Amino acid sequence: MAEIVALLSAGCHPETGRLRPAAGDAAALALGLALCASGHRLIGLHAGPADDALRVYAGFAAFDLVRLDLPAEADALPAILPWLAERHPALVLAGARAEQGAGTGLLPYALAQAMGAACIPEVAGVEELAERVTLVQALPGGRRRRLAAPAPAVLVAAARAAPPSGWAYARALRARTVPVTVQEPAATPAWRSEPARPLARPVRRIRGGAAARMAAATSFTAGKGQLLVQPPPDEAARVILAYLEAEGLLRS
Amino acid sequence: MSARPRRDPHAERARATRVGPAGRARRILGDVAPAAPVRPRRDPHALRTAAVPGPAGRMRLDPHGGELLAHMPSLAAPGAEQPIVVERPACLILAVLDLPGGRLEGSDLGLLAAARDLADRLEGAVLALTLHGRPDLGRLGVDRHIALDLPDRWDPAAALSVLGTVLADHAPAHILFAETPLLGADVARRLAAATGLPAAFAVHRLEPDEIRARGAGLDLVGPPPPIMTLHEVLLADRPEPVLREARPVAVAVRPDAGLIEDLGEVPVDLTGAPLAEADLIVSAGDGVTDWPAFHALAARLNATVGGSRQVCDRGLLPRDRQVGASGTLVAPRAYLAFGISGAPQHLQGIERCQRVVAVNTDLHAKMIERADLAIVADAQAVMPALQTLLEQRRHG
Ligand SMILES: Cc1cc2nc3c(=O)[nH]c(=O)nc-3n(C[C@H](O)[C@H](O)[C@H](O)COP(=O)(O)OP(=O)(O)OC[C@H]3O[C@@H](n4cnc5c(N)ncnc54)[C@H](O)[C@@H]3O)c2cc1C
Repeated sequence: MAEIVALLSAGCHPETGRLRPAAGDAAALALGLALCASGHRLIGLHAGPADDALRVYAGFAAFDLVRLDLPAEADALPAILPWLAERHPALVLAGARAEQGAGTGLLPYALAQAMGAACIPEVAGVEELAERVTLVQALPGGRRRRLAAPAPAVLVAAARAAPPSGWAYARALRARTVPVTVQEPAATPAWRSEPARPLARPVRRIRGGAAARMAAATSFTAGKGQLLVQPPPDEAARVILAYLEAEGLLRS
Repeated sequence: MSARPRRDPHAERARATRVGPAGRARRILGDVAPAAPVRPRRDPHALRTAAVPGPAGRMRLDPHGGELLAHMPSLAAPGAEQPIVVERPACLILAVLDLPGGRLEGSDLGLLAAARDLADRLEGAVLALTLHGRPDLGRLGVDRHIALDLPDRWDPAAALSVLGTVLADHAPAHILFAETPLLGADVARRLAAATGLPAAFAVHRLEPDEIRARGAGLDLVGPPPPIMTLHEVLLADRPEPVLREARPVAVAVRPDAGLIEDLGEVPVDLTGAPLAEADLIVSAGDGVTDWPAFHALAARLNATVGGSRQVCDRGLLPRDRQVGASGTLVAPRAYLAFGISGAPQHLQGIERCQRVVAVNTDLHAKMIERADLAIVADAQAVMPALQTLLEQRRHG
């Protein structure tokens, strides 16, 4: 049976700042645990200085844990790549964004590029894993799409996917990790980082001076469409359908 | 200019005043010759009726008797508006539009507005790339337009190979995407990984010398990199509707066989999907009494079911179906409201809906006022009619 690696990063609670399983990575772990149930082997991989970050995930289920020993600020990709090249996993599972640091969501793509594998975002479930992997992708609006790609592949769990159910403190405490010493990558010139402040509401800028601003502020901006008064029901139905069709919302 | 002479009451009074026998000033009434007009009177209404539409469609007054028109040829002939042409831009800003389903969405317009803004400040030009359609971008701030009709399958490899060609041909200074899942956000990261170019994601402040990108609990600050995706807060803006050239630019595409195979959409029942995610919602209010017809219609349209607080309070729909201030704030592409009066709390919930269709017996209901398509009719008659029509379409 194939080997699956789930990339697990240190999560951070947005309000308290405490360590927790990162939401995206927990969703990726849920995909991995579902495959585990059908006989595949799951390894949780973390690149970082502390075991605790990895152990919080072990509370969900018992699986193998490997930690690549790296300082917290170091780029994880150069450390993960050689390790993966040695193991040849059939699947690499990742979350959409880290909860600490830059959180760009670029790592799975860069990993797939370096491995020559396909990278598939928004994965809601894996249906089959053999030579090829068949999976279901979550589309906006709750729709789903089926995709297939050759293994190995890098899958990014859907942002809204659920974490595994059930978390046990005792299981998290008992978990043993395998530390691996890796060469520390050279520091790359980084961006200046500043604490994030709340963003302003999205606004539409009113161009054209004070008169335009006044007009925009005082005019009634609600629906400015069609009005049918007491049409026959068939006519009303036809108009509604034509409207939905123009919007591309008729699916049946 | 009117010929009516202007009266000067002060001069009239001075002329009518004589010194009386007691040495006091006496006013002589009547029979005083009118003074010569001081200056001709101007008719403000005549000025207003002579206003001409300007380039942005606004009416422009011309108080200088045609002088202004002589200096601004674009004002003199409002019919023949000339597009703005940027012949030698200092740089190119490439905007890669999503165009989901071949339609321009709000995020596309916001992206074009941001690209235009950046191009103006760098004295560059906006090059728009649309992969699945050829919308008219002339009034959306676009100088050059590459339009392709790639097949509708999800094929990130094809998008990437097109982008590679465009980058090689045009060498844009910046490539902008919208941070939209599976669309801009996905392609931008693929491009960054494939080319190794510096990139910033979820940029929420875009200046020519400094940008801010949202990270996990921090902001990354630095000069604008070649690849950027724009955060939602920058996408609410709309480009100025000035006519620009949008010159079509050809590109030779070599279709690349990607690793990912699209096996098509999986049919899923969306009637119970989370309201916040839904892109088509049928919603019921107190005016709905025929519930079997309502649910049958939702199932036929495969639309997500919603309701007003009234129906949820009465247990006619589960609580998680409530739309509004104390329910879910929804943002579907279309919202069908049957028998909902449109209370302020409900309207708050549908503030971000793109299209609202309302069916209500009351012409004066707030929902009818809010709707883009308003139908004053009995919901119990319209719902079965819609159902019948949908069945006919399916079979015939
Ligand atoms: C603090 C607070 C929070 C609230 N939060 C919410 C909220 O989150 N969401 C929410 O929805 N409400 C909320 N409400 C309640 C809100 O004020 C309204 O009471 C509610 O939205 C009304 O629901 P309705 O439109 O279904 O019913 P009604 O106001 O009774 O309207 C029924 C409408 O159906 C029409 N009608 C009747 N018969 C027919 C027919 N045969 N065919 C077609 N139309 C017909 C009528 O003309 C009428 O316009 C809140 C209220 C408060 C005080």
